[in-house]
Amino acid sequence: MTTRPQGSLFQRIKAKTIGLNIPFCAHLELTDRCNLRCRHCYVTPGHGDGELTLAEWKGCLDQLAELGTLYLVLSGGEILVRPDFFEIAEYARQREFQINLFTNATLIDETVARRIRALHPHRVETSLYGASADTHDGITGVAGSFARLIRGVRLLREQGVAVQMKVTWMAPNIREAEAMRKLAAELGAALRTASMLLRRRDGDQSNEVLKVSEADLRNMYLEMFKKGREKGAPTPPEPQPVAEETARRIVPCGIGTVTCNIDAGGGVHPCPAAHAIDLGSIRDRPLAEIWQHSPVLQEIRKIRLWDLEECRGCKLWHYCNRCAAVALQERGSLTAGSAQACAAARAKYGLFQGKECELD
Amino acid sequence: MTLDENCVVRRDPRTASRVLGGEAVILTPGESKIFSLNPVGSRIWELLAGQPTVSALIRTIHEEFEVGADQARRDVLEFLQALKDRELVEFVPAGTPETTA
Repeated sequence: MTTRPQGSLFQRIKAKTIGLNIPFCAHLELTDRCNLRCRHCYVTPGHGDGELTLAEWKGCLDQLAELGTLYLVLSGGEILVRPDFFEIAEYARQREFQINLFTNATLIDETVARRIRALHPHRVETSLYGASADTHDGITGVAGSFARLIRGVRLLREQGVAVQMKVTWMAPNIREAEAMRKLAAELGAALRTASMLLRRRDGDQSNEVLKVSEADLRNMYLEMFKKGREKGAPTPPEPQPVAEETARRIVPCGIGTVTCNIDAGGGVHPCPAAHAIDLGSIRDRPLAEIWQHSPVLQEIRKIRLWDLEECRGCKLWHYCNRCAAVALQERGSLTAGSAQACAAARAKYGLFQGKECELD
Repeated sequence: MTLDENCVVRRDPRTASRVLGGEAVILTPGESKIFSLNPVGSRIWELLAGQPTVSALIRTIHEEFEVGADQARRDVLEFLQALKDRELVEFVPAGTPETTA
């Protein structure tokens, strides 16, 4: 039995699945219905029309198991608005998938928390949009959602379920960063942050007003840098651009290789953020045929860092979380630069170097 | 329950696993430890899907891998105990309802 370090074994298995042309992870959007109306959300809220049925999701899980997919994200919309959610999730566990549940946690009571524990999920991931009801509910559009979220997370933690709270930095919440960290810690939940906003899938761009400014993001990271220094964190060397030989090998993101996205109606996409790219539907063709033989995916899989002309010489590459799908939205190309990614990388430079970024 | 050759061995229901290109990969929930098995271990993991008794498992490995009966018995018992120590399998008395469902 292999006992090598967990991270290295995980990376080897991930690389092996990519080599075998197997989706390492499948992100399944069980529904596009949701009980919240988050102002920044990229999912266009639906009414359940045309959603895959329980039998169709079971068939999808059978196909993924046959392919060899190991990780599942069960997402929405809000997964718990589906009355048959637990039937789908229990079947996924019968097929021996590792499952992550994405939920806003507002519909979790004692019974639901116990049923979630019985699924033995890897973890439950939920969203936190502020450290106060005013801020959080102002984003979700539903009064009381903050209180119900906190209750849901507490109930899950009481059951011993691992919880990760995800923060998207937005103009209304960036100044509550420290309070959100404290809140997550008090709840016994991990915290993960992101700064990029995707436009809504129906083209609505009203969430643009929520984007956090680069200055606010930088100031937040500089504050974190100061705290890190107080704890003795070393300053890493000044970053350098990636060498050409290396850039010709680096796959810049996992789109089309790591995570297969299947939407509520059975449409397959190369990642959850790239719904503009429609690879076909599992209602029409087997998933294996779509994933392994799509000409579109075969082209996407050829993209290397060197193909990103605006990025390949950038010294901030190691601080950059460029999302190809965001670049597609901003600039119409999977290989274009991304203004949001550049802003976030410059701000993150401040986190690690403790100063503003000076680019050549 | 301790290891007895008459008992049934089954995968712990909390685990997730796949056999990828002949290599069994097993994950535990929560802390999400990942394990990888060698070819013989991977074959045993595959056989556990059928919830065999320990003695049936030893017999199959003895036949499929052309090792002596005593060697197969020692190796399988040692391997199953290693899996049990990592909470990847359960030992259940044969004939209990949960093993015949």
